[in-house]
Order: sequence, then structure tokens, then C-alpha cells
Amino acid sequence: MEETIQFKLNGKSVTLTADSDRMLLWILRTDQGLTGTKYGCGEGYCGACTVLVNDEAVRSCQTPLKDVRGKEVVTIEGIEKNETLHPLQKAFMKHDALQCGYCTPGMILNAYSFLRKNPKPTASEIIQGMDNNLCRCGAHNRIIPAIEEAAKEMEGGF
Amino acid sequence: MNNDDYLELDFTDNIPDFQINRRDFLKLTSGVLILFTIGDKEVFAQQTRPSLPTDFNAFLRIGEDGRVSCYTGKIEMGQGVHTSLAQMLADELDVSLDSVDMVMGDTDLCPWDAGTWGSMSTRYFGPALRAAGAEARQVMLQLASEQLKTPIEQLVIEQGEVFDKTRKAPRVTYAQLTKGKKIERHLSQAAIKKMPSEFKIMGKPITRRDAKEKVTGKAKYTGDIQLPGMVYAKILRPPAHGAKLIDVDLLEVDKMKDVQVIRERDFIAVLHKYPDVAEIALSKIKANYERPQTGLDNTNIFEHLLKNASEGKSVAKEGNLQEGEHLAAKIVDETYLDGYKAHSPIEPHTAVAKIEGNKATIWASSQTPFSTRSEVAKELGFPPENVRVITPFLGGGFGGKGRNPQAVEVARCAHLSGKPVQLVWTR
Repeated sequence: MEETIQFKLNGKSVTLTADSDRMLLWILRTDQGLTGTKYGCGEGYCGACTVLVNDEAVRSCQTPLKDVRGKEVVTIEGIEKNETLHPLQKAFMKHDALQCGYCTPGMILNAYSFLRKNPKPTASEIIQGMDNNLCRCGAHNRIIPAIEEAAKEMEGGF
Repeated sequence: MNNDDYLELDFTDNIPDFQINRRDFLKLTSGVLILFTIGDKEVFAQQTRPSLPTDFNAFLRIGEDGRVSCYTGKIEMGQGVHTSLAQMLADELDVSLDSVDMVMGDTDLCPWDAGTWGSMSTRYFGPALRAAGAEARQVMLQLASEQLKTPIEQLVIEQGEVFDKTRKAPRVTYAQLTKGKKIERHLSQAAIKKMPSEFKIMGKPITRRDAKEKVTGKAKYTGDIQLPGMVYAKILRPPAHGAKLIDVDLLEVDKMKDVQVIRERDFIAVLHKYPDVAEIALSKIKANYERPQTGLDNTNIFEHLLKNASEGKSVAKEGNLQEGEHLAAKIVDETYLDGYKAHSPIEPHTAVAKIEGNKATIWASSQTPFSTRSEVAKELGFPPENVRVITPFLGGGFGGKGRNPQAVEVARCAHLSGKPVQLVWTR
């Protein structure tokens, strides 16, 4: 249904008139030009399209626009603060926790949401928390120490 | 198994459709140019590829600004050659890693290359690139020797600056040495490369050069290319291999606003400025197909495959299987059956096409930009040189992006609709 929907996107208020059943993924990638959020499977399995809605990691390919009305959406383009990389971004770079990089935005945002709930995770808790984000390259074993290091640097702060 | 047997396993029909016009190509460049060929020519010759360019298929250039560029048809799909090849070049040339640009996978800018697969970029391209770097370094030393009036043996290079090791000054930079010059060298024999003990950049842990782009979401993959007026295509697919389209009802989709339907025989696609709306439009097409009667199902498919499999081939033969069996403490004899597995890099096959007059530009998630160009040119009836394939970052390839039917499909869509089109395959 066509309606006007207002929400916060990467800290700025956005008002859109659109079919509110359209999935957030496509609103972000096409209307908003935020292509950091990736299309991987379109079925909610792979996690490449993960974004934050009120700090909770969601699959944007399964989230209709109407679900984010009045909420705060953060994409990979929005987690830098004052042009400084987020500790997760820095740690992913340092630990070479990516190869092709296509799953990386989703990985980082899922880790962000995970660390909010569990700021001092063990390695096995990280594996569990990241289990539903797929990477085909083989960065998994470097993603774990990257998240561990970011957790230490953040000390529960975001 | 001979390492070079790899070459037989994949893409053996991948041959160049035309040779780069060297005279035109060289007009474009100034500075120092080193032309070289990737890999062992003998190996390629054994593959009986008569049209493979024997001239060169990669080159490096030291520009008047001192920047070093390497042009190659290889592509970056996460394996990291965007970084590691630059490391090799910087080390052999004695320049900083930051001053090296890798120009990859663009069929207009880069000389022909068979493709990126089989873990061969490092093994074949690496040594050739290093030799070219070493050759370029020799050229720089010769130029510096003339300019500084100092014998070559007395010169050293640090970060692209040449000086007399006994005096440390004056120094002359690569940029100063190449200014106003056009020096072309063709690497015919292996230049003397550095020994591992001399490496300053190779073998040292560094951050991959594309890491920052990739953690910030700025890295561009094919699906991130958005052109003015571009629409997204969804293609009507048959329900089975060999199924024939009997009839199609487009009434519902024709009622949809701003949706364009294109059709050429049984090739039917819907276009819209949003991919998700195009998907809805596709679901409104009612199509009847005649499925081939194969008599095959999930239980008898394995027997069918075994019966129809091509003759097996030994790639290596050693030892004695029966002797080995006798020596085994335990023998496990089992048959394992598994279903069809789709090739699934995280980034699906994607392509964008823009056609202007008789020229086409294609962005494709391709491991083989040059054969992608041939296929698109053939489909459109354009000469290959009128098709430019640009390869942005790939979201994984794993061999699955050696074939790129999506690029041909999107070119058809752009041709039939008159609009720039993006096509992303679904799972």
C-alpha cells in the first residue's frame, strides 16, 4: 500500500512515500543509493543484507518498509563516527577478516548487534552469534578474533 | 598430477577473438612501458591455441607522475591479487606500495587475458610481473646512471628515488627520469628477480588494499552500478531443462504501471526501475510449458548419470590399489549419493549493460571478462572491439563466474528495451 513513512536513516530523518510492503533492502539500495547493504539470497538465509533497526540486526530483504516506521535504521554507511572507523571496522581490517568483502557489511552489523547483547563474549559465543551470517570465502577464522578485539576496545560502549 | 593439467580442466575453449592493435595502443602511453607475457608460453602452446597473442598480454607503465600502473585482464574476487600483485611489483621496482595502481579486468584498458581461475594468477602472473618489474628497475637505473653520471653498480634505489650509495645526494626520482620520455621494452627473457632475502614488501603482513572500501560499504560490485535511467530485469525461466514455452499470458503484467515487458521468441523479461517491483511483475506472467518426458526422478537419476557418464580419465597413476587394499586394517565400502549442488558465491551472477549506437558497455561479475566480451559481441552482432567489459570487485567466484550467461542476457535486455539494464540472478 502506498503511504508516507518516516524513519531515521543513519542519523538523519527520512520521509518516503512508497509502497510500504516493499522490502527495506531495495528501498536502501535503489531509492536511497546505499549500496553497502548487499543482496545475497533475498530469502533471509545468508545475512548479506543485515542492517540495524533500533540496534537490532535484521535481514533487510525480509523487512517491509512499514516495519521501520518511526524507528532508527543504521546501515554499514552509518556506523562511522565523525569519519572515524568503528572499532569493528578497524578490527576487521586488522585481522584480514574479509576476502571478497560481499558478506562483510552484514557481518559487521550482525556483530554490532550481537555485542550489544553480549559485550564480553567468548570465542564460542561469537561463533554461535555469527553462525547465521554466511561467508563462502573462508574469513570465518579471522572474523572471530576481529570481533574479540573489537569487543575489548569497545568495552560495552558503541 | 602435473600442475599444468589444471589448464585442461576448465575453460579450454576460451580463446581471444582479436589481437589488440598494438600501434594504436602504444600511442596512448608515455613514460616507461614494459610489455610482457603471463606464464610459460610453452604451456599455452601445448594447448593448441593458435590465436593466443604471443606478443604480450600484460604491461606495466611508469608514468611521468612517478606512479606505477599494472594493466592486466586478471580480476579481484577475494583471492587478494589486487594487493599481492601490487606487493610483488612494488618490491621488484623499489617503490612504495602506495605508488602502485592495479588496473584489472577492463577489456578496453587491459590486454587480452584468458581469465582468473585455478590459483594461477600468483603462480603464472606473479613471476612474469616480477620479471617485468625487475626489467623496469634496470631501465630506471640506466636512465639514472646517465643523468647522475654515475656507474650503475654504484647506484641504489629507495622508494623510487635513485642515488649514489657513496653520497646519498643528489637523488633523482622515477618521475623525473621518465618525464618527456617514451621508452618501450619487451620482456623477452627472464630478468633477474630479487632473492627472498631482499624482499621488503613481499612476504610481510599488510592490510589488504581494498579492506577499507569493503568494511565501509564503499566497494563497488557489479550490482552497485546504478546508471541514469537504468531498469532492473527479471527473466521468465522455464520450470525444467529443455522445457518448451507453449503459451504465455501477459495481460496482468501489462496492467502494471511503469513495467516494460520485452520479448524475443521465448526470451521474455520484465523491466522496472526497482528490482523488487520487477519481481512482482514477473510473478504475474502466466506461462505454460511442455516439460520433456525424461522418466527421471530422484531415485533413478543416479543410475542414469552412471550409465551416461563420459569415459573416465586418469590424470595421475601411482602405486597399486589392490596391494593397498590388502594392507588396510579396515575396509569401508559404501555408496554416497547427494543431490545437485548449485554454485553459490555470496554475490549472485550480476551484470549491467548500456548500449549506445553500436557500442556496448557491460559491467559483469566475471572471472573471464574477455570471453564475456566475445559472447556479448556475438549475441549483439557487434564487432568485439565495440564491446567493453568492465569488471568491478567480485563477491566471490570460485570458478562459477567463468561462464557469464547473465551478461549475454542483460545485453539482450538493453538491446531490446533501449535502456541501461541491470540483471541479478536469483538463487
